[in-house]
Amino acid sequence: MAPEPSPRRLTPALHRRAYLLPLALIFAFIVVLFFALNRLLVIEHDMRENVSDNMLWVVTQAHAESLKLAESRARAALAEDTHLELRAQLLLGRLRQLDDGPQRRYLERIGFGAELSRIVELGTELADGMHLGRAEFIIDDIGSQLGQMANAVMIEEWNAAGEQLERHRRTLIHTIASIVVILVLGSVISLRLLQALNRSREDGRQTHHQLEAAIDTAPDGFALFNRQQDLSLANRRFFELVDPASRMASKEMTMASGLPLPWLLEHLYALAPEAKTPSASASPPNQTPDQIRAPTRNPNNPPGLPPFSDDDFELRTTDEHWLHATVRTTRDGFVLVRLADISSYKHAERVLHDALEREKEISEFYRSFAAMASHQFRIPLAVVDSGLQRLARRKTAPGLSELRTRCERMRASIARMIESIEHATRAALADAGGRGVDRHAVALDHLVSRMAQAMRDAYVNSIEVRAPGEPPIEAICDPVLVEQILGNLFSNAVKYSPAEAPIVLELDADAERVLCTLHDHGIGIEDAEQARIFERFYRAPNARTHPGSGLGLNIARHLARIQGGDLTVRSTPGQGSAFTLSLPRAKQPTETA
Amino acid sequence: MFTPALAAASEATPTTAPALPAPSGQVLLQVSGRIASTNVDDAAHFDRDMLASLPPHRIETHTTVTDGVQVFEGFRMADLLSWVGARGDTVRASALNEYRVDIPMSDFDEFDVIVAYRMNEQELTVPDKGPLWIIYPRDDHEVLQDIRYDYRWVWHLNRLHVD
Repeated sequence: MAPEPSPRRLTPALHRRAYLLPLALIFAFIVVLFFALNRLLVIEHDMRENVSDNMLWVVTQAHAESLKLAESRARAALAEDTHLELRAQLLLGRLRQLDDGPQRRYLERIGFGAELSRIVELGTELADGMHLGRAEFIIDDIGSQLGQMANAVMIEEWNAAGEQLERHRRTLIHTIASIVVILVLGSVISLRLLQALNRSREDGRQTHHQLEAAIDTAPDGFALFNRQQDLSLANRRFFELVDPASRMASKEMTMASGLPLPWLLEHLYALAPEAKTPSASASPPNQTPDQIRAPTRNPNNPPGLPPFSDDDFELRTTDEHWLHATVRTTRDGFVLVRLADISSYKHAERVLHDALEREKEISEFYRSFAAMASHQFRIPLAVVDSGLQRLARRKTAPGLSELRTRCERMRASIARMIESIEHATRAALADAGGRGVDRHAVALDHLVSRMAQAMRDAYVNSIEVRAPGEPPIEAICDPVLVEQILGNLFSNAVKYSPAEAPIVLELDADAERVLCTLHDHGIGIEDAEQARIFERFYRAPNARTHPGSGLGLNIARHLARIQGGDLTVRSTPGQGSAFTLSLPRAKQPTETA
Repeated sequence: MFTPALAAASEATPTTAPALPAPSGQVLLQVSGRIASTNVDDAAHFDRDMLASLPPHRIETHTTVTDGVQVFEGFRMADLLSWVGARGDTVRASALNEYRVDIPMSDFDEFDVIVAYRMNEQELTVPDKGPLWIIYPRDDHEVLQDIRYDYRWVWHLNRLHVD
């Protein structure tokens, strides 16, 4: 494993330093950008200012006008031109234009202020009235002045143009340099941004890996489905739990083959012991109303896909594992399925359940014992009491034979009571067994032989034991309880059989169970009665002439069942009955050896 | 937009262009080319009174050749051209000093270009770029503050030819 990854954490000072350089870079970037823009604006503004650019044209036009006036004057002398006055006025117009604000300032700047004033005055004089002799001189004067001005303006404009070009060139160089700096700064900033992006992505990937590793080692299975209900994430455990057979199948393979949510849910529901369907799961009894509403309220339930709802249920896998499945919809429409292995809890639950059942049976038995006692003791006691009362009320002493008859009757009643008490004692023993039944492997051959011998001593009937012999048949049972059951069966067999009829105890076994059957040749039991003779206090009609409480078989079956066994009967009336005690067979490692 | 004079003229001859009276004073402006109304040969001649009968229009603006804001008064070029029934794309404007420039007719639709006869309450005379001066509303439209419009400011205007 890689060394423990320490979370990336920056002190405030480090934080500040981490941001300082990028901020400075961005600030510099903006400053240089504004500088470049300013340079460009200067050029733009400079190019707009072209007021004086046509100065040369204005001056040369004025010069041309003076030449035209001179020509007109020459023609006027020959009386050919009638536009002399207009030409003079046009020249004055030109001169006044030169004298106007921007033009005048320009000419003053290049040292023609005084000359300009003089020629404007001369032009006004010309326009006012023309003395031909002086006019020639004035026109020549104005013309030569305008010619000089045109020269000076031309030089000035060329100088200005040169200066402007140089200024523009300089400004452009500034701008180009700025753009280079902007490029460099921009590249550095972009590079740092990319690095930061890469780092954060790397961090995210690392976190993702850690999370994935954590989820992978979780004891539960997790699977996340996207809005299209396709598997987007799952840990290895999930696949192991869903499909134990493919324990070795790689996660990637399963994901590549695709695992749609509806298919998975169907698969899981099929394994649930209570038949569940996705639609039936809409309102399981253990869900709160809020949970039931959740699916319909969920706007992310994609249209066209089968609806599903949040759910909780248990299921049993093919390899006898119990799983608890939880289906939850996330807020953004993803579906999380969690599988938890609850086999151990299930086992504990079953053990507890069995113990509780046994406790219930025992307490039920106590109740019935009390009922039995009050029911069974009342009549014999009443018989004894009434007999004694009659004796006590007698005026004369009874005869010896009468006394014997009465005593015998009372003794019979007491004998029934004793029998009931014996049953009660056995029941008490059975209850003791219920609380702590001591089950272990017992060789029934020996137990049965011992029982048969005891019965032979107590009764006259011939008792035969049939057992397969070696190896001895072993059952998982409590020998004390088995003796009680067999004792009850023997006493019944003797009670309902003629004295000479033989009783056979047969021992047999199959792979699972040990069968211990007692055959008698007694009065037998009607088919209709066979099912009822194990009921408490039930006595078959043909048995009612015999003393009995109707509890013996009930107790015997009870004792058989608390050992994981059972007691059944087969019988033919008039021919006899066969009671079979079945018990779980002990595992026989020796048999295979 | 009819002036009272134009309105009266159109009532008299509703189907043809309003007749032009003959100029009585000195002709300041001649309009020729593709025009519907004429009064002298193929041209329309205007004296000061005729021009003054057009609806007056005023523009306050800077110019490239003067300092500060100047107040010009005159008539809208569009009104004059409509009076003579001009049909064309360009107007060739000529000046007393033989200056000549082609102006697109669209200028007169887009901008209230005027022909000024008065500046700062003074009648324009020849020495002051008169008697007529084409003025663009330069301060009202930034697009007009461009040397490509500056050369259309014809002063000493005396002739328009519609092409």
